[in-house]
Amino acid sequence: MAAMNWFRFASPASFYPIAGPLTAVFGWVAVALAVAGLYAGFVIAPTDAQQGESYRIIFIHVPAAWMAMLIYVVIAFWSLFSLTLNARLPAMMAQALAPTGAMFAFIALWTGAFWGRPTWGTYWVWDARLTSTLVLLFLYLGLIALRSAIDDPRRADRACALLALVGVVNVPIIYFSVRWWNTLHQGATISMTAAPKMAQTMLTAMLLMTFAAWSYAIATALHRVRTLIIEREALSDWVGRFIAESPAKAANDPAAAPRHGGV
Amino acid sequence: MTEAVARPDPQWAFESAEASGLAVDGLACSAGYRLLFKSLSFQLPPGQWLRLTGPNGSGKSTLIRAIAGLGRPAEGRVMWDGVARQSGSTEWHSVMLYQGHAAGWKDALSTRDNLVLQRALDSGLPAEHARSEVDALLERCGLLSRANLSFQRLSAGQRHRLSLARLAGAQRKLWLLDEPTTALDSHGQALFGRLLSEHLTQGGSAVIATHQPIDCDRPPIELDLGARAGTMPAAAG
Amino acid sequence: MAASSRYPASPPATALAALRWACLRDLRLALRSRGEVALVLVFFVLVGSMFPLAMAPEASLLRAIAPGIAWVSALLATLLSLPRLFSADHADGTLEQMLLAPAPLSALLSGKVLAHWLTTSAPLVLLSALSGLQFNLDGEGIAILAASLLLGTPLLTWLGAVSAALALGTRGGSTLLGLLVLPLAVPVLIFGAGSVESAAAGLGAEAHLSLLAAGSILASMVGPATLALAVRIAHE
Repeated sequence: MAAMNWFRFASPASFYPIAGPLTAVFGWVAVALAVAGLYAGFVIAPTDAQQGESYRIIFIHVPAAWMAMLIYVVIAFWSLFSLTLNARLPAMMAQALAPTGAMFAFIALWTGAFWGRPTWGTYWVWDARLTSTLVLLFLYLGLIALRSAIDDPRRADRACALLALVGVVNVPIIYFSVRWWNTLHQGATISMTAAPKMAQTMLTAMLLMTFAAWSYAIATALHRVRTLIIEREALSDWVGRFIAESPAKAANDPAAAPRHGGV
Repeated sequence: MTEAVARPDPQWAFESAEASGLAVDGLACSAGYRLLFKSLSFQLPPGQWLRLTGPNGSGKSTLIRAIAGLGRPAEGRVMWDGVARQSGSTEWHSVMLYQGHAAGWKDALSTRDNLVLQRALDSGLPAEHARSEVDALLERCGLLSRANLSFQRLSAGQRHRLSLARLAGAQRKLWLLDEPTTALDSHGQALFGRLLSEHLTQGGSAVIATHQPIDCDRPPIELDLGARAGTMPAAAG
Repeated sequence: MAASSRYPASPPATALAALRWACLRDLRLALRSRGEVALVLVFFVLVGSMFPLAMAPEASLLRAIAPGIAWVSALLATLLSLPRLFSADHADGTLEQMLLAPAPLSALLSGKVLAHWLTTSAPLVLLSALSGLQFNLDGEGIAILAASLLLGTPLLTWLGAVSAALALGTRGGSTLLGLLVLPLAVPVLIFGAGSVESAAAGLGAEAHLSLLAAGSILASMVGPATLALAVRIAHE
């Protein structure tokens, strides 16, 4: 019975009204968790014996790296749905998540560089995880580029879905091949796995930041999906009714103005 | 005989038990963000042909492609002989023949080689095709003298005649043709008319998008997508 | 209906016949445009020659970087040749006709991919010997390099074919294709170039070569259906 209820939200028309409040909820949760996590990480957690204060960047780096990986898997999951069920909403979710995933990969790379500098004296190391994250960033950029290169939205949905599935199969292969290559060529000394031993507070801070990132990802994805829904369904009846029934709301709601060519 | 009528409203009763030939039920197609048509239904029994007209951009090519299986319609279904046709299946492909704007010939090959290659693919790839069969088709369409020439050396009208030669040789029940008589001279158009008449007499059917009159002994069922667009409910927003 | 029985049903085309038809057709067409094919091979040698010019052509340094350079050049040459796989057929409508033919699409496309590999990658395997000589590789190194290219290029060709199909008719062109293919090609690059280095270090290249072979076999099993889906999507 409960399962039947969820399918009610599978059409863009019924999903749109709940997506708005959900965006706000997840957004505020993200802010709260982030504040707590940053406080725990930067204020409460003790100074590391070896790396001093600079290690604190991992409270941003590690959650970002995890999220970059996780979001790609989630995109692949939605892509599978959109291809097999030929549904629009999963495809829009996949489209909405891609820029956020790319952003997290980019943050992971930048924070990795900022960690590397004081720790090993160099901004970039060909560490297995950093290099795989770099390749992951390119996979995201490929998804985004393919989306913007195809004009027809349904064809773009299906093309990006297939690309995401081909990519997700390759991601573990890429990771293990890079890790194999790395252990062969570099010693074990320079490695991101040489993170400081986790005190309890550090672990808590890490988890808080991870959940904050997760919440943020959901909030931004939902926000983007709302815009995509309006854009794509602009010609259907329910959008017309929505705008007609609430002209003041429509005037304030930026998502109601159809923009062409969302990422 | 069931009259095939294109109606703008989906109040169309579908006699599935006996219906043979092509039937389209509640089809809606969009191109990008633009909805081209909605709730399109018609039935095309064997021995009939449908003439599709309308201004540029009204969705003629999209409709034909959607029936062929090249594009997914936003709504609706396409049926053949009372059963939903399986887009992409070899059974459906052996029933219909599609010719679009891109003719489907290789410039680098000779006229004869092109037809031999395409005939092989059309007839389910048996071993070799008798050259004489292909030459007979070429002769019927007035291309025998050009048989050894590279295809790119042919004029536009001659290139279209090669498509006629293919039509003449392919044993398909349904023709889906997008502007087949463009660039054909009066002889070529007469030839096409004859081919179409023979096809219909043998129980075939055809959906043809065209601006030009076609000289066929059977009158077509007319479907004007441009006039139809005026009767559609206005798009919201 | 008696009338419709005038049309005899065609026997369904077998996969092997379809593959043979498409492969022979593409080989014949490649023969007509030999220049285009040769250009890719010239590019391979050209790119490889750039590296010694950009650094000191010291023998041991060149020997050390040879596998990497040969593989990157092969990757770029393959990338350059990928548009040739579908763009001509897409432009003149023959790809559409293949989509609508009463023959298994995956077999037809596999025939095209096979012809493409034969005209692009197989000559690269032979040319890699030339690259090896340019970079002072010894006999064993050249043999392993050629073997790694032989075993790895099928996988590369399948990855490239799927990407080329997805990018068909889009605005991006070959730069988009590069962005799609190169990240996916990273494992092939690592194991391909790594095989020669491993052999040079005395550790033997069996592991790398078997991994490449396994990847190519897997790609050849999954590739046809994936490619057929990608080409169908491109025509929507």
